[in-house]
Amino acid sequence: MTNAVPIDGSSPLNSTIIGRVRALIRREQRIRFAGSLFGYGWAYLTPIAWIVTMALFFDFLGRTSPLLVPTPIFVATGILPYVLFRQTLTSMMRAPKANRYMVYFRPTSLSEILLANGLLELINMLIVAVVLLTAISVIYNVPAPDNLFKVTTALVVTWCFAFGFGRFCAICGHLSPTFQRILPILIRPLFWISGIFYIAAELPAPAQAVLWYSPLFHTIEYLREGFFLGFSSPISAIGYTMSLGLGFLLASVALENYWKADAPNRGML
Amino acid sequence: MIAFSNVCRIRRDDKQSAVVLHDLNLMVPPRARVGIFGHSGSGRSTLARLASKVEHPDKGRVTHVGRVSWPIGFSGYLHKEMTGTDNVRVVAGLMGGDPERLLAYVMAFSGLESVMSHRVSTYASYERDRLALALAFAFPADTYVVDGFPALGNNTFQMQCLQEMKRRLVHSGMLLLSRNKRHLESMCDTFFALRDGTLHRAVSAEHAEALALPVHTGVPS
Repeated sequence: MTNAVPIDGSSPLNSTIIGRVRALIRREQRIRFAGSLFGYGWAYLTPIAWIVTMALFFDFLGRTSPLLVPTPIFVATGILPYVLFRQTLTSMMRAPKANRYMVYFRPTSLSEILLANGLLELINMLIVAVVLLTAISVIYNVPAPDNLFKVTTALVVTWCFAFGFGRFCAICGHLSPTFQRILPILIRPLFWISGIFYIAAELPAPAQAVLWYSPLFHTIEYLREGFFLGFSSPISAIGYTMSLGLGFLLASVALENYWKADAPNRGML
Repeated sequence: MIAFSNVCRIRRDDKQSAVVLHDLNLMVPPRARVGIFGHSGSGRSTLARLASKVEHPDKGRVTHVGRVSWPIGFSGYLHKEMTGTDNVRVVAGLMGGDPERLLAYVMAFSGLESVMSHRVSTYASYERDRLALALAFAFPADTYVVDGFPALGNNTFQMQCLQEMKRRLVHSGMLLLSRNKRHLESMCDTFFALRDGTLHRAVSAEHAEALALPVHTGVPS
């Protein structure tokens, strides 16, 4: 045992942000569903079950699709970006506590921990999207998405917004446990104001004017524009959602820096 | 080198706050062996985390020159639901080492080859400590921060660790925080006692132990 030689090549200079983020993603994949049946499969099963349940639920309630497609497909195209947003937000909110000891391995930082958790959700949800959209095409015998690039863009912009907002909320939640408790209540209306089970054209003009400010409404409608041939929505300005995400991202950086300068550390920032 | 200048650390929870370290000044020069005796609850581990900069002060500043280790002796970063091998690979990814070489070193140093593929939750506590210690030794530092050498299952392994530490101290410095007088005595040349959130200079490990005892100021009966 005593012949062991300290390894070299261990200088922090050799550690890259890509390597650290990859290690954090790997760690998250190993621990999130450790010990449970299906293991990491739950990362895909949970959102799929959520989307399928909601789609069938609205079908069961008698909601008819405003577009000429089966109701479950219509609702699925609405709830997919919403689930991506919620999964990313939830994952980033719990990341600082779940990875609190990873900052022992400097230069690993809270920013990298949040990035790793956010990216993992993007990867997971892109896989979920492929599985779901393929299953929909097969089961309902409908054509593949009209414009796959537009569908992918809608999902990526949704994620960018979720990441910016998630980073802001994770920093706030790290500084204030009260905020962590209030957040789920604050974002609950998003489910109702994002056009998950209706389209903008069904709304009266005053409601359209108000709900235009709902960030996920834009990406959901943009996704439907890409999915359904000939569909066009008055609320599909994904630049707005992207800008809002960027705004939250910058605000989170400002908040983090302000906190560091004001009180060097009250945790791990 | 590690330098503390006017460091304060306050522990807060929802209802109250308490001063853990108060206006603390300390210098660990290059290749120095500084030992701090502190009883449980004295702020020893907080001081170790501050020294490694994995936690930062509420007031004051901690300065590093050269590479400083994370607090050796702490094994909480090993995730219990991951295997020993996966834990090592994660650390390799974060620190930038070659995972296979790190794994080989850790297995050789700790003697845990037979359990590395098992989840850490199945480890005995001394096995967890061994794994954490082997990982810490795998990354050379200019100054080591040691938050007590844990009991490691048998005296042979503990002796091996102490020997390894002494070997490292030829070229490196160390800040050892412990409540084991013998460890301080054998490893350090400068001594302090940590009591009431501040450091008290001592001439020996024994003196540090005596100084670390709480001062009773009550009226004698």
